[in-house]
Amino acid sequence: MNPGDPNKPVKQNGAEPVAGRSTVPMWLIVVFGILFYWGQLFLAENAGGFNKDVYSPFPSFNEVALANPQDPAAKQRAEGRRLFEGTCAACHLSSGLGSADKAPPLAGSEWVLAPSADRIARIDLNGLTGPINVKGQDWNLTMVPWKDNFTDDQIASILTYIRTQSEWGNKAGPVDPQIIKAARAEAHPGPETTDELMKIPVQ
Amino acid sequence: MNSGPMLFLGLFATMACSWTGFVLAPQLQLGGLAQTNTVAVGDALTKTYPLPLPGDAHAGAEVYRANGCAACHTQMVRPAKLGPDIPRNLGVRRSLAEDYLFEQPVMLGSQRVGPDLANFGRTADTNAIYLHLYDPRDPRLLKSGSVMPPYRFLFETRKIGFSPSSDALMLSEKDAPPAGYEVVPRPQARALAAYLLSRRQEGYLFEAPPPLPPKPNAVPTNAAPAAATPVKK
Repeated sequence: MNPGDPNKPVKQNGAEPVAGRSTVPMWLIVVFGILFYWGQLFLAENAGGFNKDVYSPFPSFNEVALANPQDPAAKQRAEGRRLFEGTCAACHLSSGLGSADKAPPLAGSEWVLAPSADRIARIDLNGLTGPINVKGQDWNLTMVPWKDNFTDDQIASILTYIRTQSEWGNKAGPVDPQIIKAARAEAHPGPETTDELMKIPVQ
Repeated sequence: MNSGPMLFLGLFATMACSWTGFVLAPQLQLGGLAQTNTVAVGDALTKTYPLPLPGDAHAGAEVYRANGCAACHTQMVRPAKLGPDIPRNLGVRRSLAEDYLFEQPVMLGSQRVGPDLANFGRTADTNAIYLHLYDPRDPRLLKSGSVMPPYRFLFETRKIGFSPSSDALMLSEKDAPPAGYEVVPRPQARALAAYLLSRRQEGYLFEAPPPLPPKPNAVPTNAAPAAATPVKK
């Protein structure tokens, strides 16, 4: 029964079938048109502009942005806390109490809580060396400069955080990045000392 | 077969549309997804999210996959309008693309024969996981009973040496091994428990922010004209 058996009668199939042509019915075009229109309406309503940050129940990116915490001061404090915990807390500790052989306390420190942040801005930017009196106690250590590591906004955030950290009992005002910008523009060579800092007004 | 080119073009266009919609568009939309920071709630620190799985949990993902856990367990908290997952405390927020950034493959599952495990690690306890794997119908675990099959091959019954192992299972009377023997988890069971403990979709993200507290001074916009009406003379 192999196909090439010469004794098997060849079945005649006639000519190769050919597909005809006919016009698409108008009602089908209309149905597809309506379906397409409905699909577009559904996407406009529910696709969130195809933005990756938009999930239900939010209809658009603006709604998502509005639903997020809006307080710019809280954002600055949150950013400051993140940076503080990542860098400053190594010596000044998360509690802000400092450590005996590394850094003086920030909690309740009259330097931190001064009416303006001009002095601590310079300490943070340029570092500090030599004797300094904090909360009635003398310290003689060296802090490295941070001006190359943080932007003006970041230093302002850190200083805002340590000045407004209520768990430490600190209740001073927030810090404007303009103060940091002005202090950075003075181009101070080497670390600050107490004598230099005392010449800067903090009122 | 006089319409071959037309047939080819039609099929090609159909496949190209599917590929664009199901492969290209998601890649353009989410292909650049990266670690992000959680939204700070109050004074809490923002955290980097998500973090890669630790090594033992990574090995546990393979055990989870090999034993077909995803056939009966999902790992997705549905959005509020698709089901009451959040009121049932399966998660604090809906699942997002970020939650699966380090999952390879993503074992979402499709049927909830067993409970959703997206946030199982928040409340789980290693010993309870071992017991449940060894005997899901242990009377101390679930009052309503469980339909899960036991996975006893993840455990080893062995003779107690000088002293009982610290991680030997505290089995109920009906499962207790013969005197002088103890049941301890094999490495696969340990890895699986570590994987299950790592199931936490925690922290609010930008896409799913924490619910805002109601504004104390909020006045409905249509209340003002109504209040003004009686004043009219």
